[in-house]
Amino acid sequence: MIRAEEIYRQFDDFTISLSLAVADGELLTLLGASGSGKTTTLRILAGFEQPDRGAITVDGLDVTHVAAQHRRMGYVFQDYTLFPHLNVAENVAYGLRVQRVPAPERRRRVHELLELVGLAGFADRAVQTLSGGEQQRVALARALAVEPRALLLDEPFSAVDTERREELRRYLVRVQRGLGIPTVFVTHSRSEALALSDRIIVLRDGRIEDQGSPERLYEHPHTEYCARFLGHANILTREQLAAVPGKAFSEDTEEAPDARETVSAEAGADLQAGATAFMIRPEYLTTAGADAGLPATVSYVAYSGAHRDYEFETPIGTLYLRSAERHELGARTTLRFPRHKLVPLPPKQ
Amino acid sequence: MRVSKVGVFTAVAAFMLVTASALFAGGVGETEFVDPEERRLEETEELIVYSYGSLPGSLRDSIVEYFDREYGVDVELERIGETGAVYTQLYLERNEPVADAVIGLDQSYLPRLREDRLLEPYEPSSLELVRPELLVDDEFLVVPFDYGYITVNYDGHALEDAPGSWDDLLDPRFRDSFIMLHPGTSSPGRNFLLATIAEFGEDGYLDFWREFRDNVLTVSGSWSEGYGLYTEGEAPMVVSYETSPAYHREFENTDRYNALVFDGAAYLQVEVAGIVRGARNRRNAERLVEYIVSQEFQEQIPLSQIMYPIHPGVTLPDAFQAGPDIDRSVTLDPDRVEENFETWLEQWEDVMR
Amino acid sequence: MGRRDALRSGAPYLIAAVFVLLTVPPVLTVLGAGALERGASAWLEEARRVLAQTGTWRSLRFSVIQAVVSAALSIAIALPGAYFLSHIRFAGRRLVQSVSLLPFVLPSLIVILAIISFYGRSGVLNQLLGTRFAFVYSAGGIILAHILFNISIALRMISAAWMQVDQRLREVSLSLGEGNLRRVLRLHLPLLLPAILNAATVIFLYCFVSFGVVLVFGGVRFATLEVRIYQAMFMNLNLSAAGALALLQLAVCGVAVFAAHRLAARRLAVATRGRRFVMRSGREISWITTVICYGYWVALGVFLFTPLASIALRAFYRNGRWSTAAFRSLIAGSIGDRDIHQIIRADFFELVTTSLAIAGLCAAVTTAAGFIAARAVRGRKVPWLDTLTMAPLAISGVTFSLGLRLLWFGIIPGPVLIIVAQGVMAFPLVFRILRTAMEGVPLRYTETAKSLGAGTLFRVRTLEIPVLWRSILNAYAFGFALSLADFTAVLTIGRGAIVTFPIAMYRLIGFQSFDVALALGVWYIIVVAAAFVAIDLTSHAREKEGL
Repeated sequence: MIRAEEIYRQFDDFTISLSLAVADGELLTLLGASGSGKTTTLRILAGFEQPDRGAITVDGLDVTHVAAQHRRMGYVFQDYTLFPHLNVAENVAYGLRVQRVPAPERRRRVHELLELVGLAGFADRAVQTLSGGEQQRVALARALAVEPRALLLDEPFSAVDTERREELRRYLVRVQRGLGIPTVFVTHSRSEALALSDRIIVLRDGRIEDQGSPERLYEHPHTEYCARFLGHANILTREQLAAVPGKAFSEDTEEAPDARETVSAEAGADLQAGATAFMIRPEYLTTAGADAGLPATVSYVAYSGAHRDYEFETPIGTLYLRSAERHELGARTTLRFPRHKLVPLPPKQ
Repeated sequence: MRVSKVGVFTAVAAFMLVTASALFAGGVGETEFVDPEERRLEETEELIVYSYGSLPGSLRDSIVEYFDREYGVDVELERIGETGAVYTQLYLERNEPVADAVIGLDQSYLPRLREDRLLEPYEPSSLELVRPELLVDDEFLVVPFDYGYITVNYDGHALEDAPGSWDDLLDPRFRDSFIMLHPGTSSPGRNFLLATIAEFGEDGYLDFWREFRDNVLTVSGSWSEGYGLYTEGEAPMVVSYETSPAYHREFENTDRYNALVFDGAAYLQVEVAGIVRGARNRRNAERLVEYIVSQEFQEQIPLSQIMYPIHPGVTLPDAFQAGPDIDRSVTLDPDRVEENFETWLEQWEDVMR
Repeated sequence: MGRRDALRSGAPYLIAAVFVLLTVPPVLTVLGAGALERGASAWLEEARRVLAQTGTWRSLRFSVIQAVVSAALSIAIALPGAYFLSHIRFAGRRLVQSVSLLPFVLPSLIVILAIISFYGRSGVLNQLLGTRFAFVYSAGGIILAHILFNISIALRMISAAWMQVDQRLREVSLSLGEGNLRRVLRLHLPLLLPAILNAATVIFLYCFVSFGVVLVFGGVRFATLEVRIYQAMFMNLNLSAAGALALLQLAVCGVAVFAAHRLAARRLAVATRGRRFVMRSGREISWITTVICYGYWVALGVFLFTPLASIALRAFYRNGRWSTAAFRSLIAGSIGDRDIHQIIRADFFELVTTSLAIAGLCAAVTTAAGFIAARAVRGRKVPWLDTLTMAPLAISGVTFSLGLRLLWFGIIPGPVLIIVAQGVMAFPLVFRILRTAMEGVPLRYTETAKSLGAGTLFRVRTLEIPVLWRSILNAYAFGFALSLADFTAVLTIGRGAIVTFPIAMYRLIGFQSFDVALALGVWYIIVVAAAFVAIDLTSHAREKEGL
């Protein structure tokens, strides 16, 4: 269990101010744009940077003033950072050498770990001969060798090519779940965050914009920034909504989302009342026949294999739609909005 | 930029230490003149002697051996660069002298030695001189131990037609043919400059040099360097001692190198030794003075120093007989030299540019 | 802020403080010794007098001009070489880089002898041409010697900077149809200007305080400030005048160093965040370029090495005959009747052990200090510290050594002072090498190791040294060679009692042992140079040696 309380760090151009906690076995993702402070936060957890104020505890132990080399937190860099002068086995064994683990034991552990990451038999290879994905797995094995209390990963897959990424994600999840250690993962890729995480924290300018499960953040973001960050979003002001003809709205027949994730009924009502805008995801808009909804003309199509992404020009502005249906550029149709999918957003801070 | 506390601390500490050491450095040059004679320490069985760098090892050995044999005394002979450097060393140590005696200054240093009070007088019990003018100091602050003449030396293989007079030196056929030694750093160089002043007078010597300048290939800082260039063939003429060719005759069996004496006159250089003021081992220093004017020591002078001994009882080797005759020793009054040398040197430097 | 962070951000100040402590007091001592001795007013009067002399300003002007010309010519000659080194992977590239260092690490005395042997009035060149040109005994000789010394610096610094130019710029230029020459002139040179000026400043400083060369070739006619300081100090015993001149010299150097600092701070506008510079292999270039390239290196090699070779020639070919007499004398230890040991005033064994011991220790201390310092400021941009550590280049060797002696003699043994003096003078280069080399172990590696639990010593042992050992060795070799070649500090502090190779050679140049001096020089060149070049070659494993 990692806890970071009231962490405050001031830089020349921005400030970090947040608190977070990661439970054992949980994979928390810090998601944000570049410069949002996610890497810095990770580095503060690792001990590479010091906060001006605040406390960091691991399993109850205060490690705020403990040097990085004594924190036992595994760290994986974006570009793997394998020691170039050591081969695969030696890299993985590095931390064990620090702990003065005797050679036979070291060999055994290395073998075990390489198997765990699917690189059995690579022990004697020079690191320069490995592909990006392979190197990253070695980096992971190396970090795990010392049985760290936590695992910190800084955009570990962005330097790996796309085909490999999927595979690596699976490895990571499997390994991490198996070991049951808290893991903090930094990325700017929303698809990655959505796919991997147990929980996501969206950072903006050093502060927590929002946090929650991937589904909650995607379906019911609490801020417009969050909404936009996690995917294409149609943001409609009250005025724009008011301009949508009533027939464009459909009632829900689906079950309410997970109770855990929604705000309480009163808070929800408050939100409704105070919201200045509403968000709806492109995949929930539907097309309908003439006069059945808001008139719209296709202004842009992007084919994406399983679906198409559309932009429609409407009386209230440009709207996004995602659907498997085919529409031609310039085609005219109408759009319908499921009311229950409209997410109220508070006024911008 | 954030100013770290550690940074400020070290900056302040550094500043303080720098200031402190600068003040400490002040202790290096005391303005008070502490009389070394007052703090004379107990004598030991040692003798520390300063000399210029080119003092031959054989002379050094004979001194060491003599003292060891006769008195059981350890001699430490330090050779310090050129003559100027020796003087500087004595000067820097004048308040707390390290050396007991010095060998190798020349007579032109006398006025300065007197003014700076670097030496103590001592008259050797028996001093026989082959020429009376060698007694450069009747107060015996310094005692002569060898002498020579500063002349132009030339390479007979490179010059068929050597100059026969001072005027002849100016001839354009000798363009870039002469290696001069810097009068500021080199004793022979200094004396050669003085020779031109003696010859042409204070008003005329600069004209000589103005005309002579084109014939000067380069001005070397030390005699060793200049003479080295000369023997390597860079130029056929050099300022050196009238006795230098004797070395080549004796040790290399060649008549190739010769000295030029114009009008039978040449500038006299007398090398001297003396006892350092406030010397710790005064008695041993006195013994040294006695020794170097003795015939035993003087016998070695010709073939080691390649200079003339002061002792009349020494027979000169054949190689020394073959040089030109010198009827007249030329010198300038040391006090006059002392007073004017810096000006003369500056003027000379200006002309030589 | 945590304690560790404070220490880390304070590191540059700490280093600067130590550095200043080592270098400033000796210089201050010399500057002020005259004042402390005769009083401040006498000092001022003396200073005024010497500053009023036309001779002073003439020598200042000459110092500046010869340094500027030397620097300009060195760079002009080195530019094509730097281009080839950074752009084309031609055969013998590494060899060329290592070998061009030779004149820099040799004692200046040997280079001087080499120049005399080849370009002197009775030198090889004149003999071949049947003439008796004496141009070396003038500014020409001085500048020639300076170019020989410094060309390798220009080569290294400029080629290293050139390699930083973003490859993509070249590709854009190609796609716009620009030819090679035009691109070099219109695109690269402006980008390189800061680096070129930086190299020029370093060379300027070296030449400005140059001593031995000016003394031999300049005579009286061409004296630099350094020579005048030496004269004032040791000939006129005028400490005040010497101090005033030294102050003047420092002021000029200060301006130059400041200018260099501003230039260095304006780093290459284009960083290497783009694609790494790709060098074309020998096969990819046109035959014209190949010819020009190899032709250039041959010409440069001839220029650099004919003087050195003539030393060997003169040592073996005496008086019209081939003879190994000089070498035999050297080995036998006697020249005719005279014992070589007497001439150099040290026996051979003592000479070798003293020289190697001082050089070995000095290099070790300097390399260690440089390593610690480079490590402490790793990854940080501290241009002011880089500039500060360059300062010793601007301090006159004579002044500094004398100051050390005046301050500490008697308290600290001579050899230690010599090591300090040589160490300080070698530090700029050693530190630079190690600082650049540290980029081979970026902070990320250290952090990874830390996350695995490795403490500082463990990291140094298992991470930094294994990766950097070549560069460390290279830095050590530099420190060793520079220390071994030093003449000024040994002479000023040791007062002739301590004999190292350059001093032995200098003493041999005197009376009739010139050829033996040459023989010793040849021996020195072969042994030391071979070792140095070999070490330097092996350290070129990575292209980061940007000096």
